[in-house]
Amino acid sequence: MTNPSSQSVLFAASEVSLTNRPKRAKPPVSSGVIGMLIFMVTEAMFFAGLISAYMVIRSGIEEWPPWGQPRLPVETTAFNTLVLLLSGLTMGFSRNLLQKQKFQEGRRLLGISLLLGTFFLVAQGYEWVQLLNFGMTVSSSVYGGLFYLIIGAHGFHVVGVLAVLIHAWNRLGASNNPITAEGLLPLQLLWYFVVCVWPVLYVLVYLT
Amino acid sequence: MSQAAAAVETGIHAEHHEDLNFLHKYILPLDHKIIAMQYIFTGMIMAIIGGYFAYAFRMQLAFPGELVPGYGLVGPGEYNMLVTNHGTIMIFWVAMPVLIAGFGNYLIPLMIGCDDMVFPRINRLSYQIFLVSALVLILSFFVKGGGFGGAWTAYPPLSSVAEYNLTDWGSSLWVLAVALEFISFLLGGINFVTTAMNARAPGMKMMDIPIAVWFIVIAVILFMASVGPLIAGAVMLFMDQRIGTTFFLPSGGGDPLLWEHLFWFFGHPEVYVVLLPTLGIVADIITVFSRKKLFGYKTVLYTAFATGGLSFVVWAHHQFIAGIDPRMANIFVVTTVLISIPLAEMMFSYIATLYGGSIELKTPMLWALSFLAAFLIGGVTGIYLGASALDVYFHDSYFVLAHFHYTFFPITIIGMFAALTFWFPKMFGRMMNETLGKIHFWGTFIPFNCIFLPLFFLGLAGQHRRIYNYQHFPDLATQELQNIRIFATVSLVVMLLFQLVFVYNFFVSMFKGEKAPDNPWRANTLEWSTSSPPPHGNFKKLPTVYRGAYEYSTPGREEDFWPQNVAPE
Amino acid sequence: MHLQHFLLFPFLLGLLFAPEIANACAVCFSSSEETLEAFYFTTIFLTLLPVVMLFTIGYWLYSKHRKT
Ligand code: HEM
Ligand SMILES: [Cu+2]
Repeated sequence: MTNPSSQSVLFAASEVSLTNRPKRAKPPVSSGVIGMLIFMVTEAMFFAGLISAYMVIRSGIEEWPPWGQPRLPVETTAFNTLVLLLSGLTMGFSRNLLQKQKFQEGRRLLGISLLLGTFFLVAQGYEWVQLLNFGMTVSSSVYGGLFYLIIGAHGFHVVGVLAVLIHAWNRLGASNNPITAEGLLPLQLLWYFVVCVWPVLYVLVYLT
Repeated sequence: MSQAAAAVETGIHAEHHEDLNFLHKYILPLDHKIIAMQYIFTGMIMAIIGGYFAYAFRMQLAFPGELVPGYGLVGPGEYNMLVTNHGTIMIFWVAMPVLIAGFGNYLIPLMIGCDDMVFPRINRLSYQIFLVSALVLILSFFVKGGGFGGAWTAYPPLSSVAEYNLTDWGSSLWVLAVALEFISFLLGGINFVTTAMNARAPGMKMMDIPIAVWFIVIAVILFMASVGPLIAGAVMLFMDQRIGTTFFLPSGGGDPLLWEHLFWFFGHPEVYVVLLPTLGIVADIITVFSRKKLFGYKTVLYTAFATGGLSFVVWAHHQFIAGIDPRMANIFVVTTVLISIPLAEMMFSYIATLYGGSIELKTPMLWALSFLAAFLIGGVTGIYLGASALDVYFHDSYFVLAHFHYTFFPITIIGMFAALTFWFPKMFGRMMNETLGKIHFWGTFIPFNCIFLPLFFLGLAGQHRRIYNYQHFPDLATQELQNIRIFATVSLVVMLLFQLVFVYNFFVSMFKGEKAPDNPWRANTLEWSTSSPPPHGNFKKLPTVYRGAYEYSTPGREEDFWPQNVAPE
Repeated sequence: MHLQHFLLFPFLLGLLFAPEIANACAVCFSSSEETLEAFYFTTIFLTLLPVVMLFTIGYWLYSKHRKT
C-alpha cells in the first residue's frame, strides 16, 4: 500500500480476500436489463416532454406549416419509417439466433439490422439538407425549431445506439468473442426503444 | 480459487479490490465508499458557497445599500444573481449530492451486504460529470455579465432573452450546468436501483431492507421518472438562448407557460426526491436511539409509494396564479391536500416509534427529532399554500419562502448532520465529540428557527420575494418590519458562526477522535457488522441475513438488539 | 351519517369544474381554447405515463421474482 496514513482514515488496515464469498443466486432479471429499463423510462419521459411541447406550441398557431415554410416530405419518410421498423424486426431475429448459440448467423442478421438503421439515418440527413435548402432552419420559425429539435433528438439517439452496436458487432466477429446474447440484450432494448418512438414522432410531426 | 473467478461469482469486477495507488484510490476510485466521500465533500464545499451567498444577500436586506463585510456592495443585479445561485446550489449541488448520491452510495451496498455497486465504472463517471457540472456553475459566476439572476426556476422570457436578463453567458452556463448535473444523477440512479434489486445479501427479502435504502431507491426512481421533461425543457431553453429558436417566446409563436409545466413537472417530484432519503435516514436513527421496532414498517413503506405516486399529480400548485385554467387549478388543490395524508401517516408512525421507547439523546438523535419538529411546520404551511384561494395572496411572498425553508432546511442541513454524525464512526473509524456535537446542534437549530419563523410574518405583511431593497416600498419600509429583517439576518450570522464548531469537530475527530468500535450505537443493520471503517470490499465474509432491520428490544432476548446477520440459536 | 352527506360529496366534486373562465392573469395567458385543451391533454399524458410505465415494470420484475 502506497499511502498508509491516508489509508487508515478511510479504510481498515487489511484488504479483503475474495475467496470465501458464498455463492449468490443468479438474479431473475440481469442487472444490465434492469438498468436499461430504468434508463428507458427516463428516455420515454424525455420524449414525452418534447411531444407535450410540440402539442402546446402547435395548438397556439393556426397556420401550420407557417407561411413560407416548406411542407415536410411525408411519403419518403413513410418509406423510411418502414425501413427502421424492419431494422427492429431483424434485430429481434438476430437475438433469437444468438440465443441458440448460432453466432455467425446472428451476427449477419445484426449486421443487416445495423445497415438498415444506417440507411434510415442517411435518408434523414438527405432530407434535412433539402429542407435547409428550402429555407427551413431552426430559427426560421417555431415550426422549423420544433422539427429539428424533435427529429434531431431522435437522430441523436439513433447515432449513439448505432455506434455502440457496431462496436458490439465488431467484437462478435472476433475469435475470442466475449459477447453473449444476454450481454447484448440491454443494447438491443435501447434499439427497440429508438425504433418504437419513431412512429409516434412521425405521426406527430409529419402528419398533424 | 483465483481472485478473478471469485469476483465473477459475486458479479463484481476484480480489479478494484487489488492494491491501488493514491491516484486510483482517491482521485479515480471505483470503490463506492470513496465515491460517496467525494460526493459528500463536494456537496459540503458547495454548501459553503451557498451559505456565503445567503450571508451576502441577507446582509443587504438588513442593512440596505451598505457594504457587506467580506463581500462588498450588493446591487440589484448582484442580489438577483446571489439569490438565484443560492437556491440552485442548495437544491442541486447540496441536497442531491449529499443525501442521495453521497449517502446513497455509502449506505446502499453496506446496508444490503454486498461489496460494491453493480456498475462501479458508471458510478465513477457519474461523479466526474457531477464535478464538471459544479465547475461549470462556478465558472458561470465569472463570465462577462456575471452569473445568472433569473431565479432558480428560470422562467422565460427572462431566462431566455439576453436583453432581459443581461447575463448572456451566465444564463447559458447555468442551464448547461443543471443539465450536466441531471445526467450525472441519472447514471448514479441506474446504479442504485439495480444494486438494491440484484446484489442483496443472501436471505435479505424485500421486507428486510432498511427503510433508508428503500427510500433512497424510491427517491431515485421518482427522479428518473420525472427528470425527462425538464431535460427536454433545458435543451429548448438552451436553444432559445444560443441559436435563436422561439420555443418560449410568445412573439415567435412559443409559449412561456410551457416551461413552467416542464419545470414543475420535475420540480415537485424533486422536493420528494430530496425529502425521502432524509425520512429514511431519520427512520433508521430514531429506531436505534429509542431501542424500539419501527412502528408499522410496511405502512411506512406503502405510504412512501403513495407519496411517490401522488407527487406526480400536484405540480401545478406552483402555477396557481400563472394563468392556468382554473378548472385544472381546482383539481390540483385536491391532489395537493391529498398528498399531506401519506406524509402525516409517516409522521405518526415515527412518533409512535418514539412512544414508550428508551430514548437516548445522542447528537444524531437530536438532529433526527429536530427534523421531525421542523418539518412538521413546513408541511403544515404547505397545506395553506395548496389552497388556491389563499395562494393568490401568498404566492411569491415570504410566506412561501418560509414554507419551503422549513422543509428544505430540515431535509438538507438537519438531515445531512443527522446522517453525518450517525455514520461518522463507520466512515472514519473514530467517534465525534458529543459535547461539541450538542453545542453545534443547539447553535444551529435555535438560530434556524429565529431566521425563518419571522419570515412567515413578513410574508403575511405582504413582503414579496426577490426584491433587493424594501426601502422603495412605503408599506414595507417601516422600522417595525426592518427590525424583523435585521433579527433574521443576525440569527443567520450566528448560525453560520456555529458551523465552525462542526468543522472543527469534524476534522479533529477524523484524525484524533476516540477509536470507534464496530457497532458503537448497537444497531442492527449490516453496515455495523463489519469493521469501522469497512475494508475495501466491505465485508470480510459476505453476510447472510436472517431477519428484518428493526428487531430492537425483542422480548426474551438478553441484548436489546438483534443484528440482521446473527444466526438464530 | 345521513344520505345527504354522501350526496354532498359528489356535488362538491362537481363544483370543481364550475369556474369556467376566471383567468387570473390576462397578460401571460394564451386563452385560446385549443391551447387550454393542449395543456389539459399534456398534463394528463405526462402524469399518467410514468405511473403506467413504473407500474408495468415493477409488476413484471415482481412476477419474475415470484417465479424463482
Ligand atoms: C405537505 C406537503 C406540501 C405541500 C402541501 C406543499 C405545498 C406547496 C405549495 C402550494 C407551494 C406553492 C406556493 C406558491 O408558490 O405560491 C409550495 C412551494 C414550495 N414548496 Fe411545498 N409543499 C409541501 C411540501 C414541500 C416539501 C417537502 C418541500 C421540499 C422538500 C417543498 C418545497 C417547496 C418549494 C421549494 C417551494 C417554492 C418553489 C418556488 O417558488 O421557488 N414543499 N409548496
Ligand atoms: Cu410543490
